Amino acid sequence: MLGGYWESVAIFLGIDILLALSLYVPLSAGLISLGQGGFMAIGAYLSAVLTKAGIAFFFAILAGGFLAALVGLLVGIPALRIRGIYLMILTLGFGEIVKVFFLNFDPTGAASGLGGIAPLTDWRWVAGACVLAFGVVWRLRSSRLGRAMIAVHQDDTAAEAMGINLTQVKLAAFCIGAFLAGIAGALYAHEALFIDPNQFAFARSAIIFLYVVLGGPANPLGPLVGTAVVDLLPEFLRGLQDWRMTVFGSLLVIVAIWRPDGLIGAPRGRRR
Amino acid sequence: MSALLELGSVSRHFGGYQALRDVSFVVTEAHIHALIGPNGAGKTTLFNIISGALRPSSGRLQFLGRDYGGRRPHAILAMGIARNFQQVRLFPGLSVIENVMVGCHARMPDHSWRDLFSFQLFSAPAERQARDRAQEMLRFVGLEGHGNDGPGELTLVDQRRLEIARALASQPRLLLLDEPAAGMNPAEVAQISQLIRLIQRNGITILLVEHHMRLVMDVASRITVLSAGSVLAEGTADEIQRNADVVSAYLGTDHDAAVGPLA
Amino acid sequence: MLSQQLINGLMLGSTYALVAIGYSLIFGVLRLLHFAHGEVFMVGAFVGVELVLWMHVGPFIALIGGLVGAAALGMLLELVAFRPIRKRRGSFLAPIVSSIGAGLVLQELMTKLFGAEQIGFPAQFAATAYHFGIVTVSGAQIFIMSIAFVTMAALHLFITYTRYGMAMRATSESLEVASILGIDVDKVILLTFGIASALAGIAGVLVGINFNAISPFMGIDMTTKGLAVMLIGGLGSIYGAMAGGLLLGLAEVLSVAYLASSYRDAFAFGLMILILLWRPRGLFSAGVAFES
Repeated sequence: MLGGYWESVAIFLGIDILLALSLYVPLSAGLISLGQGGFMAIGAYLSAVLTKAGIAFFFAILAGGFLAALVGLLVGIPALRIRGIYLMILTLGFGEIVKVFFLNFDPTGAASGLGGIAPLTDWRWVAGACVLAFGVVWRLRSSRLGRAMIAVHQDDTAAEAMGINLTQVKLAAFCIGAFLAGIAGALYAHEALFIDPNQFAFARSAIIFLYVVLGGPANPLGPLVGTAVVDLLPEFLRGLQDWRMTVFGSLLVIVAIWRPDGLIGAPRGRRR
Repeated sequence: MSALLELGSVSRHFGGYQALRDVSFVVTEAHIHALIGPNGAGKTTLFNIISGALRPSSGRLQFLGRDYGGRRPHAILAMGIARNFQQVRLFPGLSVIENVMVGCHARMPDHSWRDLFSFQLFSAPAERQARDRAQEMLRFVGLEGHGNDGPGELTLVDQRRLEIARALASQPRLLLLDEPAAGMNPAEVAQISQLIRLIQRNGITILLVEHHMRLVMDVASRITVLSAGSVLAEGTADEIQRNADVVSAYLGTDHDAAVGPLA
Repeated sequence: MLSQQLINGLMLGSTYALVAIGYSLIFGVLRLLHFAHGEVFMVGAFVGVELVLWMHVGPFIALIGGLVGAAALGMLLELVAFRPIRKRRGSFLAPIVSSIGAGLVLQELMTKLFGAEQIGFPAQFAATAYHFGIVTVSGAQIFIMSIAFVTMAALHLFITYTRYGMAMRATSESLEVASILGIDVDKVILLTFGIASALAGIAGVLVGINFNAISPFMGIDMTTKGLAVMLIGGLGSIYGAMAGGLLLGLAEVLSVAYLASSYRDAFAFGLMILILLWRPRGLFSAGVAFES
């Protein structure tokens, strides 16, 4: 299909879009997670171990997603009692704990990482996952659960008074997000072929956060745009050599000032 | 007529402050029952206890004969008690009709997981039904045609109507209204009054907290007067107006609508 | 040995405390998680060490250099990266994006200027050892602990008794009310950034002296741990940050001494989660409203 390099870029872009969507879902219920890297790590490691044991790729991916979702349930429960900023730091802590866990977990190589993963990911897997994930997120918007998530986000007192079970909705949003991140991790592991705990540290979660907030967290297209900009921009800045990251960082500041609600602004009261 | 809501010796304190003391009354089905009293009497606290936003310190709350004290608000809604908010609490990110559809949440089947994996093939009929019902509620309150607007674009009266429509969408047996006429001019108050009577004619019982005496006297078939956390008096509109204790409880407060002997 | 570990723990903890206090000050006034604060800490360390390497100054001058450099940087960040967003009334997430960008720029610039390798203070810098019975402390450690505690005491006095300190407290209660009362909110915010960054700068020099491993990447760890400490102590609470920092320092040192050392970094967050489960507002919540 595309030339090798660009196909690789496209695959990583697709995986990053999945990660962005994995944060978008809990964010639309008002849950800000800076720990999606942790869920990604769980999906990556479990799926790699499973394929090495001969399990089919499809099931390995799903298993990664489900284990991540299960852990998401555990993390989500304390998250029910705390809000906003607190939750950000809690999830940040969760991500770091996952990293330290894998740094010490010998069966998956501890700090030396896990290599020799089969190159099972190709553009079809990634494209398929992206289309499905995006489809789910898009349709969620006009569903009972999706409306409930937005209601919980905007006014949880009123939402609860209208019959919405806050616990159920928040946990659902959080677990769906964890699931997507786990899937992305599984796809990532089988494309990068070598994983180590530092690939899933805070920097990863911070970038995922950027994908969504930069693009605009109020609209499913936001994460798409944000991911494209954050991932592809450095490619176009190649000419700047060593100054790439400096320019990139400065651009983040500039965009934050210029478009505080994200590149795709927040629709207030939808129009159809 | 049966007792829909029954309060038995409900009390509530906040630290050392006794906000409510042994409040008991009954709301009878198909009536419009009003809760009035001077500022600081504890009406809001009582209202929040009935709707589940607060727990009573002691006392009994019964709906349709069953105790429900301590339940979460969403479970109370499922039982059949819906409310509005004095400071209108709509969802700005949802359109007007979507706001009402949130009211349908508790009455829609929970197909969340099937939805996710089937792109809502399963729930499409339920979704259509909810939308139809929401449209019907908008028509009922007089907001037909505003379905796709943003809630922020509505006037205050219309926002209040929207909140009521949202509450009605949950098919309540008892509707709790917290100062639905607050901040309105006399013409608007009359509109709300009309809407309240229309709701009652459709078989829904109403418990109303209000300061606009004219509205209260117009619609309420039974009035409970709260003062300093206790029930001061209870009776029909006529009885309350002639009650000397009630009149003196109100004198000395700068009430826009309390005129002499609450005429 | 335990007493030795306790000293080490208090020392490490007091540096955490200084950084976390900065986070709390900024969060208290602006409700902002300043993700570039770790980089301000790092720049302070660099200013200190470069002053020593190039101009052969003593520890106090290095400290003052780090303090001033960091304070200046912090105030610059407020003017360039945060104030414009505030003026445009953006969502509360936008300043976080801005701080991440600013942190990245700082890391990159420092790498360009000084390379990515670790550098340290000259070997003989405050190295004399003092013995108190079974406990040995180096001159450096005495310096660190005394500076840290003096700084915290000075800060306490400042917030409690000076006009500016009270203005800061008023602003952290409510920006709107403070400005209605005639407080120049912008100036107070700038001052807050200055003080918070100065504290980080001091911590940077102290940590640099203690560990001798100054690099453009030393701020990353401080960012995440500093936030954890702030959460443990209670968002926006200065005294909570102090207590939390000391607690973390002790926990980390003791865990390395008595448990597996590789889990050290998880301690910050494990501790944080445990404390959050017990008291969701942190150890000393300042009653700060934090609705997002």
